[in-house]
Amino acid sequence: MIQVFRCESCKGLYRSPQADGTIYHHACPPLPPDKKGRELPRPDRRDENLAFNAAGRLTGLKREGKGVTCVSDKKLAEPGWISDLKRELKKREDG
Amino acid sequence: MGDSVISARPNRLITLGVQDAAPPTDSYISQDDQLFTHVINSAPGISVIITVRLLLPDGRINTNQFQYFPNSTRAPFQASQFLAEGFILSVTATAGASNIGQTWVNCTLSRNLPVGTFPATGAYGEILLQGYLSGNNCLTWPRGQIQGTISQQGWIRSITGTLPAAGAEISETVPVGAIWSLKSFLFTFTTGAAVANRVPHLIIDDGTNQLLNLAYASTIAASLTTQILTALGITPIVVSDGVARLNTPTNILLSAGWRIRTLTTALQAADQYTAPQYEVEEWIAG
Repeated sequence: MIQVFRCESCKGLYRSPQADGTIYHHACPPLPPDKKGRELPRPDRRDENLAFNAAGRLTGLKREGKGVTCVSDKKLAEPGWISDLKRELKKREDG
Repeated sequence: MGDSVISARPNRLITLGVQDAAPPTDSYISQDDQLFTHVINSAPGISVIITVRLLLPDGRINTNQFQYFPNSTRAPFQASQFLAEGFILSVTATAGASNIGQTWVNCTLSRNLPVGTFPATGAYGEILLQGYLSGNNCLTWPRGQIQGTISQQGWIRSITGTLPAAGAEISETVPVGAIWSLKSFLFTFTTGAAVANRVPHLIIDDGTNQLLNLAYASTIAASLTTQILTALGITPIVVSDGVARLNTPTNILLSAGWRIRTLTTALQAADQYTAPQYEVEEWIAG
């Protein structure tokens, strides 16, 4: 089921999964250019892309940032695939 | 010398040996060999089924089937299975509802390959099959083709991006594990009441460095709504019936972590972009 999430880092709204059922990996835009024209990344940015260690092992999301709020279903803390991923990684750690 | 099949034709020239015959394939499996399966997948809720037919030393044919449930994050999934000693007759890989470009499989004969990392330290043997599975496309050994990840047409997708906050830019990132070819990108820009001449740019970058910068050919004043489209093969137009067009070079391939985004000269705090709607052709990153 498609849910709408608000990123608490950039306040952007996004849908996950997409209409075709695939996962949408939100990543915050950079900050607007400063007075010198430099585009700096948000220090608290969120990036839902997957992170791997040097051995190629999956370690989780690249950056959690300030987290998300599900605006379409208050009971959801985050996209379901992220909860599944965290459970899987926890199981691997424990096992 | 073994027995021969008796033919009903007395003047036959060729006979077929059936005792002590040479194996029909050259893939001998010892008790130490394993079938290593590597899957990268973006399709939700699919299973990958690997079927292996083995000729055992006593002449029996054994069929083994392994079912895997890779998740849809494009994170590599690996599994290793010991096989009985004998000769492999065939290997096939099938999947459920998936599209070319979504579910990529590699099956290799191996020894002591750890699962969970890829590529890993260990002994890779013969690659038996490699390529995309879909609802209508299976992979097979022998006589199948070893395919690369972008060696055929990818999956055509329509994606709804993030709706940015007021005063923020659009930014869409190619997910880890994917390669995109951008076909079109459409969004609407509504300017606030603050007086300024905005100039939206469409940028493609590698996460840091700009690779492409397409500027809107005019300025957009306060309190206006403009739809902006870029697509392959279109003619740039400043505004026609409320739609501005930017020209896109052909065949832009984007790697994981690259971004498609806006960068707006004189963007004001109350200016608002919509969520972009865009079309890409997608493959699994090789």
